[in-house]
Amino acid sequence: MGGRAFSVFLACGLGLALTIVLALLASEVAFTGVTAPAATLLSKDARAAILLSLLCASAAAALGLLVAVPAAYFLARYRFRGATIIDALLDVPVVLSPVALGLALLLFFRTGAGLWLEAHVMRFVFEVPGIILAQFLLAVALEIRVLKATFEDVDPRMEVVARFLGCSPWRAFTRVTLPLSRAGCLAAFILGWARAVGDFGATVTIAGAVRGKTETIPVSIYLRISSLEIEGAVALTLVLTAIAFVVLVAVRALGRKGY
Amino acid sequence: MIRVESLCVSFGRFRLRDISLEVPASTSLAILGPSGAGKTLLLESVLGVKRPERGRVVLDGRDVTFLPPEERGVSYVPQDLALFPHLSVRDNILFGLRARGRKVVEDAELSRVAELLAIGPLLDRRDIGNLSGGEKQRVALARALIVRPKVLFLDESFSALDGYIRRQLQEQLWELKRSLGLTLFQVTHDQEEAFLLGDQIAVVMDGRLEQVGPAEELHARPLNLRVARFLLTRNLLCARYRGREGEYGVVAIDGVDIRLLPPPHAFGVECHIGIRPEEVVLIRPGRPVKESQRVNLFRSRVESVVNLGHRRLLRLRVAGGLSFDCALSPRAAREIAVSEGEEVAVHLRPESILFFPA
Repeated sequence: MGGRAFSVFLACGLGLALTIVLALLASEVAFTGVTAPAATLLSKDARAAILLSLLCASAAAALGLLVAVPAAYFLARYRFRGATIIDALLDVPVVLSPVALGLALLLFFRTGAGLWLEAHVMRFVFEVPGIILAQFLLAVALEIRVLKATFEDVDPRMEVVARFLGCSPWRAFTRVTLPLSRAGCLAAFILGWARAVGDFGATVTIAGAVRGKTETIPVSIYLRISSLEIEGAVALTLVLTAIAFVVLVAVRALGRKGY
Repeated sequence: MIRVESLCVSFGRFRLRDISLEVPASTSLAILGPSGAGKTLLLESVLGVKRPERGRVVLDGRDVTFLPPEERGVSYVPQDLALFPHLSVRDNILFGLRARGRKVVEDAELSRVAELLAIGPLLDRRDIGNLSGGEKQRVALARALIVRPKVLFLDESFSALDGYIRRQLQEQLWELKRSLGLTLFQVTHDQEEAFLLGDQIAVVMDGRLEQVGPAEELHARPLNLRVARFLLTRNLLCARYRGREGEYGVVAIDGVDIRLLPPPHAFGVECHIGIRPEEVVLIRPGRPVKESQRVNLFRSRVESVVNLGHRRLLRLRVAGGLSFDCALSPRAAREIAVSEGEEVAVHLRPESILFFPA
């Protein structure tokens, strides 16, 4: 294949992929019109669903970061027996179907520890904390993956030098490693958040699809399709698409800036 | 003063065995060895970055073997310098003082190291990545020196620099060592750097400390053939020891007898001898031969003349197949004016010849 033919072949692949995405979006916009998403946004229950989605996803991604930062740093810096197994185990939620994850959560809350948590800490099943917990599990696995790669990119010798200049391990981490991992931390948060905000399976399995209570955007889309409010469902899909698009553009922009 | 006692450390399958060293205060030790010899592992073990299996490290009379790095009071400049890219030049240099909570002395100490290393104009630069190699080196040294360390550890810190800047910085560090009374523990594979900066040189090869001693001693008397092979690289020749004749020992190479100072012990027949190319004496044509030069005086033919810039390397072949290199300064080469194919007289001083048993 000549150079020009090869370029055409590559461009065709790109064009096809782009056409599929644009065709899907265009069909949605054609169905609802441009004004319908705006009208949907004005309705009280849609706004509540959007707000709940944003809050739950933000809480899940933030809590995920609190766990992912130390876990990823540990995996990135320490060599120990069984590290590969642990690394693979932590990846399971990334590849597991969200419904299966939700089911596993539901089963956990039938065990002694789960029942104790429900009775003495807070209720999760069919409640908003359940959504956050499910989304947290989805987000944290992704965040650990991104952060491990980020920490591995930071030269450990910088931490060593910081130690000789008088820093404790904690201070070397907070004054050298974390600032150098800002972009990675932000990317991990955004990707975790994006994974959480789009989740349907895990959320609906642990928290149910209770209108006005556990109704996130994906759950709301499902409820609207069930009750044949197709226009509203499509409008919310467009809202979700817009959020995803903004997030993905932000990740790339931050990556370019090396933030 | 830093003392390393019987240090043993493993890294994967590589093992450093039974290393003992001593660096008196305000002196320098250069760890010299080929790539993969274990120099950096030794430095990191002494620093405490790698945990030794056995042995101990004593700093100013205190056992610091298992002391955390921040409590040792030493500074470390790694091979890649490890400057903090998220900080400005000023913040990089002040990092150590701030970490130790010594903000009050910041200005005075910053001025001191900036003057010592002539980096005043760099202090306001924000992007470390845009500094030249030499500038980065100076900033890394300033960051290490501002905390007034008891010992400064350097791991091939000049290796990434080009020749001129490298030599300039090596001389600057030598000057700093003298003026500040620094104690230096330095790893290098550059012999010139080791001899320039090391009051003592330790040769490490394949995880073993082969020889340690004053620089002059290492230069004059490599302890064994392995060290000689590393230090000399040229003019190491297989020979047969024929025994003693009068005040000299005699070895034979391809039927040519060479006299040297008699070895202190009785050895077998097979041996090696070595002579530094700069110790080979070329006798100018037409000049009378001194009486002392009548021993080991050979006729030889110039096989090649290689111009290395700072010296000329002449390949000389003596009748009988014996050949070796002779190094001349450019001026000496100009004065003697020999060219390829010419016959010249050459003299090997018996006391310049190194002897290594097989």
